[in-house]
Amino acid sequence: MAAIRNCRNLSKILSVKNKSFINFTRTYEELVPENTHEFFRNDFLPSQIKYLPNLYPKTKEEWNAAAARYGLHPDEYKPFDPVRNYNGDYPDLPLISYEAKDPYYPWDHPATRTNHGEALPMDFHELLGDRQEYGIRQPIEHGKATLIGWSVFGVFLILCYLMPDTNQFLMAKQYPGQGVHYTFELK
Amino acid sequence: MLIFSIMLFLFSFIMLFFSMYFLLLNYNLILEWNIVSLNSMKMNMFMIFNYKTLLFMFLVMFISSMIFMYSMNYMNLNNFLLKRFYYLMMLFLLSMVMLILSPNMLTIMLGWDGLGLISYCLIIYYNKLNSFNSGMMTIILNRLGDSGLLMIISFLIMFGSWNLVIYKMDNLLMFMLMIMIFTKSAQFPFYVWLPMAMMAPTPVSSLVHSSTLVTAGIYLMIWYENLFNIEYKNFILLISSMTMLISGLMANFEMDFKKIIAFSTLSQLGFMLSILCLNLNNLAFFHLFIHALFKSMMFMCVGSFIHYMNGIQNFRFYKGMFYIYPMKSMIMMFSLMMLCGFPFLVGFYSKDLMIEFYYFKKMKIFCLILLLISMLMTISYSIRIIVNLFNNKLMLNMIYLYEDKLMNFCMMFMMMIMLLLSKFIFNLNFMMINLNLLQIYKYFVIKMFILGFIMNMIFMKMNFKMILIFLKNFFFMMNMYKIIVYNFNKFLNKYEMIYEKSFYEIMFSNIMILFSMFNMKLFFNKMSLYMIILMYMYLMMIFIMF
Repeated sequence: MAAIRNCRNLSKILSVKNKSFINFTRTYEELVPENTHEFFRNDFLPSQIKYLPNLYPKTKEEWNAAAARYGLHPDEYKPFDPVRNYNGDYPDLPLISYEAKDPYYPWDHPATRTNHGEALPMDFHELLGDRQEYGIRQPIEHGKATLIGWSVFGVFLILCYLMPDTNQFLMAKQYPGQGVHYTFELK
Repeated sequence: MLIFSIMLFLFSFIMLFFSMYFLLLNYNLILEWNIVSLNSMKMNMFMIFNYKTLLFMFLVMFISSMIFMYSMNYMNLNNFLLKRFYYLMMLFLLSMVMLILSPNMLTIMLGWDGLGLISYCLIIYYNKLNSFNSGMMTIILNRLGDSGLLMIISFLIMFGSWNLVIYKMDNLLMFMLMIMIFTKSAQFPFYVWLPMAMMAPTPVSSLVHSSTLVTAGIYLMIWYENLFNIEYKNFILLISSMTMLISGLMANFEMDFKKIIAFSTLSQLGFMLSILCLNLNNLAFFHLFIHALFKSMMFMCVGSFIHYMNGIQNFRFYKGMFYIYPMKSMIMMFSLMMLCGFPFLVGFYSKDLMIEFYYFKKMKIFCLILLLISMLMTISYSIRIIVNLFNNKLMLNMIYLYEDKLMNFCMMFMMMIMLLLSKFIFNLNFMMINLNLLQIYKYFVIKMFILGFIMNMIFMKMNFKMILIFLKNFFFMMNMYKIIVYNFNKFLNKYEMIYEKSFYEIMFSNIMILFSMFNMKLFFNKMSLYMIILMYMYLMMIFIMF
């Protein structure tokens, strides 16, 4: 009963204390690009914010500062697309696996072949171990290669269909006959 | 373990005796046990005791007894996973026996699924991520075949019994049966898993991936051979000949010692299937029998080489092995000659007959050309191995000096029994067979050696980079499977991220965000918004009521 008694004021609690329900009634004339990231950023502790990516850089100075923060050149630095895949100012780095990196370079962390303080790609967990081999140069792309393989199979099929049967010199079948030893005709 | 293997060995010879006895009396024992019968649907457990099944059981038990003995010295005894290894091998033996005895469509499930699962467990025995990768490939492709089996089982509920021989075959059923056979015995589009499965320890690959598991598909085809039409058989003939050609080519350019033998297994499987398509049931079984014996011996030889080289599998380091281990490399050479079909050795009896039948029977010229070229390939790569063993330029990395007696004993014993048995079993069916052919075709086996040697010389000097890449990638079929495995791994990673760690957090936080309407434009239109409001009102109503 105690739980039900507490539920009486649930709507009140929710509508007053929760910030989101106040915004519930808000109506937009036109669609405004806003992100949850900016709103929920203030809910974290200041010590946690230090390790989060900053907001998306809008001015050139912010851009340069963000590039410097991740240890990249401003021309090289490229954050995620803010509309499709918003991740603050975190750079969209390519996936390069363990095997594709130089084995003779003195890495700080030789197990993953990364340096200390290096910005890692967003899906870095996919590269752990040797399950994937992204970034290795291949003579032919995978899709193109499979096409060639199947086309070879198709050519083989066509050739097999077009070619005639083998023609071995065989004797006519012999059947036991009466009186004579054998005949070539079936009675 | 020694006692177990000796007992198994004795039991295998009892099986041989019984098989001969059954053949003498022309006796065929079928045990049938009705498990469930419901509305004219009968679930029966079948056990067929035939001279063929008993002979196959002898084969499996004999090879596995030798390999148990062999693996006592091969495996690291201090390894804490050793117990698991032996139990898995025993379970594998059990499931293989189940498969042999009951080829009924319902009860084959026990053996068929058991083989796939246990082979996966054995491939990932060395807990490395690379072996995980190859094990994953194996289990995915074996599951594909199993899905065919499951569909057949569920489809046959309509008819009321799972004896496939009684009914007239449907196209759909035929397709599923073909998928089953192709995945298990590693034919054209699904052959990738066999060379990848060489990540397993060598005793495993000598038992599982050469003689028993991969022959399961062919064993099934031997039972249900009469169901296939001529059109289907022509198609299977083309695919099997293609498999033979591709794997033969691959074996000529591969640099992993163990994988070369795996490719030769692939080509022999294609060989067996192609002879099955020409309605030669007994001959295919005979070649299956002989091939299992010498291929397992070959793997044992390679395994002992690898054992002494401290786990190095690179083919370049095996130059000049003949001068260090003459006995072992002699056995290796014998087994290679058997593979080629050297006159009056083990492989000769089956291979000679098969080539004669190729010329004798009616088939497409294209298939015949493919088969003969791939026949030359087998000789070419076996000569390549022999030349490498005799090479003077030693590139030894690391070797143990003292030879192991138990390993050598197993190989020698196996070879002796093999040499005795081959002619003996040949005489059971093919004693009186005589084919009328021109002499050119009759002596093709001998001519094959010269042509194969020339082909090997050509391949040695070949240095076209793009062609080599083309051949090394399985005619680029490898890339397709790479894409599949990449996407599967990606999915697994996402799955781990979302479902294991913070599924509920992400889910409910998203719902709160939906209520907050910040990201409203992305997910919902106006109608659903009204729906949410109404639902919320309804919930509030319920709360107020209480």
